[in-house]
Amino acid sequence: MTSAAASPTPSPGPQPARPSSLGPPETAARAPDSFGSPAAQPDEPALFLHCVVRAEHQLPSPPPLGVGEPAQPVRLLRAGPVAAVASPVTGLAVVGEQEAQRHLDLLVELLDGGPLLPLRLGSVAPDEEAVREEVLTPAAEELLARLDALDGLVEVHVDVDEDAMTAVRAAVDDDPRLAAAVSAGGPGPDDIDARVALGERVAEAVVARRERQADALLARLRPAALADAGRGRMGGPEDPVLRWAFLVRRDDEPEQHDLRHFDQAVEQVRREHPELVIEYVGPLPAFHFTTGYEPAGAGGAAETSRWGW
Amino acid sequence: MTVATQSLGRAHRPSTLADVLEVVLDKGIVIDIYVRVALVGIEILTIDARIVIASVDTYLRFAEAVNRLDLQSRDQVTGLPGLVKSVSESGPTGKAKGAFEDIKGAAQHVAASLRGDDEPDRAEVEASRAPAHGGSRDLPPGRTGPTDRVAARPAARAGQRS
Repeated sequence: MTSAAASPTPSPGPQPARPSSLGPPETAARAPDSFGSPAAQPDEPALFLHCVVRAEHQLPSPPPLGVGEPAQPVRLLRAGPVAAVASPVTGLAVVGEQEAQRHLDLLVELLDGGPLLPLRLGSVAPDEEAVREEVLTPAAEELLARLDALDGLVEVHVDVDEDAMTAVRAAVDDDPRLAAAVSAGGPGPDDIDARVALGERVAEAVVARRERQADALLARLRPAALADAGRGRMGGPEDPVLRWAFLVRRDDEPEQHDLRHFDQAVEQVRREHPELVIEYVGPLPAFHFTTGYEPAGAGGAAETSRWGW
Repeated sequence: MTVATQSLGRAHRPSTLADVLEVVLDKGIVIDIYVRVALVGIEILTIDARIVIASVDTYLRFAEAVNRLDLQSRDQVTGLPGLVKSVSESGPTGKAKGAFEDIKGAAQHVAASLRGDDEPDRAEVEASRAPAHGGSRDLPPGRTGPTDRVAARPAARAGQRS
């Protein structure tokens, strides 16, 4: 909103910025920042990009606030069949936790108005023209096709963990030889090699248990989803049991790949596995399915798991 | 506490800052012809530190966990999930790893006594200097490492205040 007061000089010119009561707030000359992107010079107005939507997407009214200090309402920048949602910002130098949180909150809010494709966090354009020329127009048809493919679909995340002591106890109980070794007293505190060896056997048993648990959980959850994808490392001795994304239809559908049925599937799994801590988050934008998806069971769209599912 | 958390069913957004970052960092599309559009600096440490390679330290902690199995009655252990839940609520991403932190602490004391080092504080300090001792052996288990680092930053505190 500094444009009203900005003088129409064609370029900043080599002279130092002249303090002016009418102009935008000027800061003292500062050392060049470590980043040198043309789009994000401090104190220059810019557009912080959040996502691409269809041109007919309706922003909530009033438009939600975007990132930046002070935060201004987001704007919809249309080009052909698609549009970008952007926050006008001034002097945004780096993206921190606050921006990341606001970005996600905003995307979730916008999801109510139709499909969206998240843009990479930190995408910043100098002006509207750059958004249209570099983000929207060159890929308009592709973007529209992807948006149409995601119409009515949302992503949910399931994170499953197990208390370490519970896992260790169960893993030892499941392995008679290991259980025998443990009940025999195990190595003394001074026998470090034997302790490492025992710990390694326990760790392997825990990993095997986690893999069985993940298999079982996916077998129960996949039937309620359209597609799924791993979200990162898991199953190792110090990793969670499962960290997975599922694509579901937001509204009920006959095939039951929808949010309501997935909710039920998660609740059922929770009842069946009181030993597990199951975090369930959504609906989120389809971060892991922006390039389309294959039906569940045909492999994750975004990542392959370490077990080759 | 456990019941309350579970009865929420589905959370509408990730519960912790670390989980928010996990969702948004390095995700989302990039059009490959950007000239004037740029990616500004992300002042957030990435969460690669979650990759914890199994190591001697890991194995020692598992061995220590086995020792603790002998000391604990089974009744106590079945009560653990509730306890863990409350731990995870107090920490940024404690999740179910709370109990393991104790194991780690115990293992560090074991390691300290093996070295004949009677000062537990020093063992703790050494354990917190992950890179200096090669690889990830001293990283906190699971998802706690990066969060701790992020939370130590002023920007993180500002973010969590809001």
